[in-house]
Amino acid sequence: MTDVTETEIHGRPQTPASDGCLSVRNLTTVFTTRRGTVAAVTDVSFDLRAGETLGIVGESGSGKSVTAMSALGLIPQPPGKVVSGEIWVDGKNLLALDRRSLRAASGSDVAMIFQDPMTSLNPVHRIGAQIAEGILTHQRRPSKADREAARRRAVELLAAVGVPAPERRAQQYPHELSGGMRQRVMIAMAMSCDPKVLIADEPTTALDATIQAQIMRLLREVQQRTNVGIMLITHDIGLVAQNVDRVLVMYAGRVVEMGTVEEVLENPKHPYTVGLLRCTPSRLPSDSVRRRLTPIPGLPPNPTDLPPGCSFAPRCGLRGDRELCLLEQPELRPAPTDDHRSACHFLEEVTP
Amino acid sequence: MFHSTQQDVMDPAEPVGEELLRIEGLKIHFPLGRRRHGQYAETVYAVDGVDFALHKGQTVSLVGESGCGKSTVARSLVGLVRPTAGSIRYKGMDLRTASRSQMRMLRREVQIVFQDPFASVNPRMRVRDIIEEPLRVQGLPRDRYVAEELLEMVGLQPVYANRFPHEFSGGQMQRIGIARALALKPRVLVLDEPISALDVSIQAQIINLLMDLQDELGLAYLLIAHDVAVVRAVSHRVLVMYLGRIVEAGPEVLSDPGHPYTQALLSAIPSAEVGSRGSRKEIILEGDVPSPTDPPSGCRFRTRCWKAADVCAEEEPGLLDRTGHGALNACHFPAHE
Repeated sequence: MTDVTETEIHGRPQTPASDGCLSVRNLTTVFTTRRGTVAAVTDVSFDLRAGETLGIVGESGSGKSVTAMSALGLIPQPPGKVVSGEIWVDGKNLLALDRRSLRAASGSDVAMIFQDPMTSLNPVHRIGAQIAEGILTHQRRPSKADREAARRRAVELLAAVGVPAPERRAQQYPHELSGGMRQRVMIAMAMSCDPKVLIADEPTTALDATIQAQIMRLLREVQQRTNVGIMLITHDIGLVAQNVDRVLVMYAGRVVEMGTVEEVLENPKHPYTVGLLRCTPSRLPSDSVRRRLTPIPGLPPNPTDLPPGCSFAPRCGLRGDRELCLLEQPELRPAPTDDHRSACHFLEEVTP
Repeated sequence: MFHSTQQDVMDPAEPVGEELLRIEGLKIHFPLGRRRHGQYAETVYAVDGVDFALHKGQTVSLVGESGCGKSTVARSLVGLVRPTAGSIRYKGMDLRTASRSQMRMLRREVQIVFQDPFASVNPRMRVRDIIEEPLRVQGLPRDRYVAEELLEMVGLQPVYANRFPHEFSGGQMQRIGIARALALKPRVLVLDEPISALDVSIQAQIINLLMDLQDELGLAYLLIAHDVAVVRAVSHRVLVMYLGRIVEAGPEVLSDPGHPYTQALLSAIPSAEVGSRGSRKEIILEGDVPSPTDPPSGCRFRTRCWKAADVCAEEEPGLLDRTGHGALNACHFPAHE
């Protein structure tokens, strides 16, 4: 966020920061449903640099996955539609590309790993063939030698993500692998074309704690080796604290706070972030005294019927009876530096 | 196998309410494949020798990874699976030998709350009918406003009784699931991952509700969960399971772990404090949990354990008070504190 100023975020779309390997500008995605239009993502802008990990935190329905899917052109249209915005990767605006160029870019420039590896792998094809398929898709009319090379590369990739006996594993089907092994296969597949950006959408949510630790270590190793920029989408504050460099906090489709992980977690400047941190059980002292947790009162807003002002206002303890919060949408502004921004009218009053 | 039956499983130092449920030497095995010559090809040793007790007003938690058998234990308490061996006693009555009328009483007094609140209700039933259904099944009188009263008890508006499940969020629906479990005025509530399907801000609401209800009604809880931090905050006693066995048990095992598996499990939970980054000693276990159809000999954790020695493969470590702290530990080489 070094050289993004106020006008760049809220004004007209600008060209991206030069060192950003992924730059998202003013992304807005909506879904049309029978009950009206749902603004899934509204005016989201951020940069991800090479070798950096950016965490996107938020609860279900906050728009974190839709942000990622928009970046890969994976929003089903209809009912979804990317209304406006730009997504820059390697000098290309993905949203301006035609279908064919987007297909070429996704996978090779931007790759993605999903929450549930079983539903992302094809159950009737062998692991090795599925990895090779990704490699061959990006080659024009692959020859027999290319196919053989892709198959060898698949085995190499499996070895690189710590799959034991990769040659044998490449011949197996997804159901023969454990959840952790399947997620390793997904990572191998995602890294097969040396992407610049890896989007990891809740990569460990379906896995057990000890396997989650293995997968997060693997992602760190892959990043050190390839300098890939990782966008880590999660609801787990612990994963964010231990693995990311910068954080975006999303609520009801908007970025409510962004900054370095230290700033946002230790000195939060948005009431929602404060509430989220307070109700995270792993931030309680690790003694075994029984204690009540501190929930955020109320429920997340209905996305078809967002309140006119700040979406968090109905649940906010800081608002009191101030009218401004109900009337005017707060914009992201420095809190107090450009590196740490919060969308709260009264961010100066926020205390952790 | 029945190593800890003689031991008092509750910590003697804690003031303890009336004992409601006692589980001894519980084994639940599932045969796989076709039976040939009276033998099954394989057997899943889902639960293989588990002992514990539930007391009035207390929360006992079972933690462990998927496949360790914690949900199977929970389901056996409400009669959804039949134990292969061992006993489940409710107020001294053995489930296997209980008469019909005793079973009816037991079914009333031990209730369960499931993980996915939407999957555990009929979407075509109104909330009132969902909540009253246990009373109907038991043939008990249904007071006019019983659903409204139960809804208020779980923090929902009484008018919701006339609505359908799809009109609710996950957190609200889980409150309805709790209201249904409370309809029969149970003494014991089995909570099978009651908050894992919910968002963090809602999780805290449900956990607090459960703690309030426990204080108010003196319920005994068996909480099944994989979120160690939540378990630590709400439990009186924690049982750590691995591959069908309890490896460590005590009131403080999650803040002062003595078994290598508990240590690894805790280390694998990322701390939410940025300051602790890099400074924590991280134990990352290699490999996966072995198959419960063919558990390792001796200590079941030895294939992934960094302390494993020859004795671990030969001798099954019993769940004993090995350090004199009151916590039970099934490791030949427990950490000394």
